[in-house]
Amino acid sequence: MVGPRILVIEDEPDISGMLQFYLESEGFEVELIITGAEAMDRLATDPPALVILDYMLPHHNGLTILRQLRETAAWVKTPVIMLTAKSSEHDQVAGFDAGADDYVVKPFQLDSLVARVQRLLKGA
Amino acid sequence: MFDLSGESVIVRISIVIGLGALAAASVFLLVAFALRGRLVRQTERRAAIEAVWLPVMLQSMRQEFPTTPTLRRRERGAVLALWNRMTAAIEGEAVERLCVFADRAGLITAARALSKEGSGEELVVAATFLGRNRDAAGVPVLLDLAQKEPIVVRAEAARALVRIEPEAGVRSVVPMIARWEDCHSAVAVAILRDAPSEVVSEVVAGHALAAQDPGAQARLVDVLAIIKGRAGHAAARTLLDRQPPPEVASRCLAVLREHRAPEDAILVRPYLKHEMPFVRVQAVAALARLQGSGDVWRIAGCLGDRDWWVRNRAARAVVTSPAIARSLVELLASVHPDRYARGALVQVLGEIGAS
Repeated sequence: MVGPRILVIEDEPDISGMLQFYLESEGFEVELIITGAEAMDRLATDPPALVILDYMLPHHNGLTILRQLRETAAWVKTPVIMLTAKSSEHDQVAGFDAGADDYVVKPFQLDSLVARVQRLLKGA
Repeated sequence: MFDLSGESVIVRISIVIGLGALAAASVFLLVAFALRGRLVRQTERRAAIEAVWLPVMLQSMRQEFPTTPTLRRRERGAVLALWNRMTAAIEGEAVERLCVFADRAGLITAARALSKEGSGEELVVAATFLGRNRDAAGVPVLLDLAQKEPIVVRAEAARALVRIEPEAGVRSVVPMIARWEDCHSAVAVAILRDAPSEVVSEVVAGHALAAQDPGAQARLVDVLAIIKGRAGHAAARTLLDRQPPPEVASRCLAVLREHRAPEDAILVRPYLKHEMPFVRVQAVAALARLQGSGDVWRIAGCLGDRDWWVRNRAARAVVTSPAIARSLVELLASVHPDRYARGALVQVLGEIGAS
């Protein structure tokens, strides 16, 4: 049986590959998107159970995507974890202001990220 | 007859030039295609290597120890680079497991071998690997790499030394940084980033105070200006008291500017009269930041400086100072006896007003 679907929007193949492997090992179904443009198109279809969103993406940055996501009726309640190398307090506040449910800074702990995913899915 | 012969010569020259251009273009295209083909082959080979090694590394991160593939000699650089990228993105237990995997898969041996015979890029990959793997046995290899060219290899080896043994690494790396004329202060700070900042400040300050060569001393004080430690601040004060060479003095003033200690104003003020304009500029900038009592008028005294840069910096400091009312600055801009001072104030007032 396939678990909840996680949408990973991340342009670095090493990181998206690691996330896919780790999350699939935990029983999640993983969908990968590389660019901001693809992410914007994806908002027109069914939402996943949770989104892991990189900040720096080609075409549209993570904040723009997040704001658009929060304005899309079907996606309003979808939990979003921002995953980014931007570690400043200002960036984190901007992420939460835009509607992120959690904020994880790279380099990150994979086990901790999976635990955050599970916690958010329990609360959703 | 004469004209026909001339035309013939021109035609021949044109043909030779045309054929030459055609030949050059053909050679250029052949080289371009060859390089492109080589790049495509390299990319394909790297992708093939990663297709084998990535799943194995991922499994090892989950405490599953799979059978490791045989590491071929020509694969070493690509596999180590993949390992480096993975450990750069994550931290915690998964990295520890990747280190165990690196040992089992022979990556440590491969990195040591690569550090002796690899290309420039491979030397950097090997240094990065040894640093991230934090294996103390890699220290002699890294000390050797830290003597090689170019700077990117030395810098990565130095950074790896600091990663493996932060305090001991700083003590061995700082004298190297002092010698490296091609090491920018931002690179030096990146090298030292993984060590406790107070240790870095103490060691760099000690070497800065002891340095005999003004260039080395200036490079080390540049680092102190960025890391902002207590020992660095004290060293900059001591050096300024010794009236160091101009390039060192200007950097010491930059350190004092960053620390914003009002009691430093007494050390800074004499440098407003220094013979070198770049030192006077730094003194104005530092004094403006320290905001000591009455210093805004000392800075205003630099509005008539013989050097444009000093006048401009002083005008900026006066216009933005909270200690002097805008109306007074505007009055100064209209009545100052020096026309260059008036010009500098009017210019800065215009800029600030427009912003």
